Amino acid sequence: MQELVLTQPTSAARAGWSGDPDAKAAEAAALRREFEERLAECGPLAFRVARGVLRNAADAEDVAQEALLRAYRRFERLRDRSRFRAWLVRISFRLALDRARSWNRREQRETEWARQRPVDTTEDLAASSEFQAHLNRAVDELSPKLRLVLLLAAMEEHPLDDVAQMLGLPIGTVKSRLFAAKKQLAEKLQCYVKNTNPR
Amino acid sequence: MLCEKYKPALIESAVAGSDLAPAIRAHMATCPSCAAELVQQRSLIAAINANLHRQMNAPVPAAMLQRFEAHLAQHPQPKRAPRFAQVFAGALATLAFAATIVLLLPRHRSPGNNTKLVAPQPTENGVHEPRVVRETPSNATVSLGHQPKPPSHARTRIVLASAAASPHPEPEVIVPPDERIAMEHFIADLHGDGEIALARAKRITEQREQAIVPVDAPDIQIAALKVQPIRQTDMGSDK
Repeated sequence: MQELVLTQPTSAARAGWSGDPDAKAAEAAALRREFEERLAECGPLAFRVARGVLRNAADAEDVAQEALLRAYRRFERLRDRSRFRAWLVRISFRLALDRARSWNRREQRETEWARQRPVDTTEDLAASSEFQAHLNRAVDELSPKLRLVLLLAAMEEHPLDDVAQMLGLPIGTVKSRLFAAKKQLAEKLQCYVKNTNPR
Repeated sequence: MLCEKYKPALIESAVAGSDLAPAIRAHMATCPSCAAELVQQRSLIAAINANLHRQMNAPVPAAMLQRFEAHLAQHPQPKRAPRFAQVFAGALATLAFAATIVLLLPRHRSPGNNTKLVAPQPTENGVHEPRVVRETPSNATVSLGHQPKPPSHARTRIVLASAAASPHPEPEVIVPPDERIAMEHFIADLHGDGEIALARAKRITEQREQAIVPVDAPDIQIAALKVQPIRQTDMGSDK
């Protein structure tokens, strides 16, 4: 279990109202220390969620940085600090979706030669196969709630009960959403599978 | 074509990783096509899982957190913005204060239908004439001359009639002397006090008799009368 620094938003506010600069600085330092402790655990999670949506390491890092910065700025207002991870996941997921939508809008405007998304790493190159492209398209067409469950459940360190706790959902709901997401993917990839794997 | 009806069940079985229903399993034992279909569906799901797993477990850039911490050092946490609850409480207090002020202010005067009689003003011969004015119910005033009268109505009061006590900016109707008695009867009837009306009528009659003063003068003797038309100059001098 992670050790938490006892910092309450109300006490921080009282320090600010009282005008004591030392107490205010101490509260700010404690708040920052607590955030940095959570950063090591939740930073990679924000990156992976963004990468699952954007499928690009550089853009995913940008989104993760922005999500972490937003979380830091609002960290004082978060009453239940135990929900920081779920909070950060949702921020990162929303930001990544927004960026993906802006990509799509931009792609419609630009010319054909500029439509290729930037491929930065060797992993991105390895993943750019035909099946991967079809799968990515099918994942993009999922609803956000199915998509988030699918992405989180694909992570090694997050079993389904952890995903349920992270999203504040019953485990049965997570399982049904995961089943629905995979079923939709399988149905959309049926023709592709028949072409590549003839009987 | 007959096996198409089993396809959704095969997909669901592959996705869930669960066993087939007994009826479908019995069909699979006799249908190699459906058995191959199930294998393909399972391989498809495995491919999907493998791709998702590879995507979602890609290594995180090692320097990402260091870059973020460096970025964080350049951007300290901003000052706390006012919470919605605080803003809402402030707005609520302002509204309550404004409502209190509005309730405490006197109500706007509007001309009503009440016609009131106020303090009579003395004329040249000393006779007070009542005046009829329009007033709001809260300021209703009825005057019956010089004598004060206790309140007899919830919305009216009787004031001491005097020449100085009539600074009313509202329009007033002067009651002619001939109608004064009738007006006082009207007022008395209005308040259900007939005795006051009689007393007032008697007093005004006495005042009229006192105004007739005998004059000691020699008798006038008229010798002759001559009737002639009035000239223009006389008419002008009369004016």
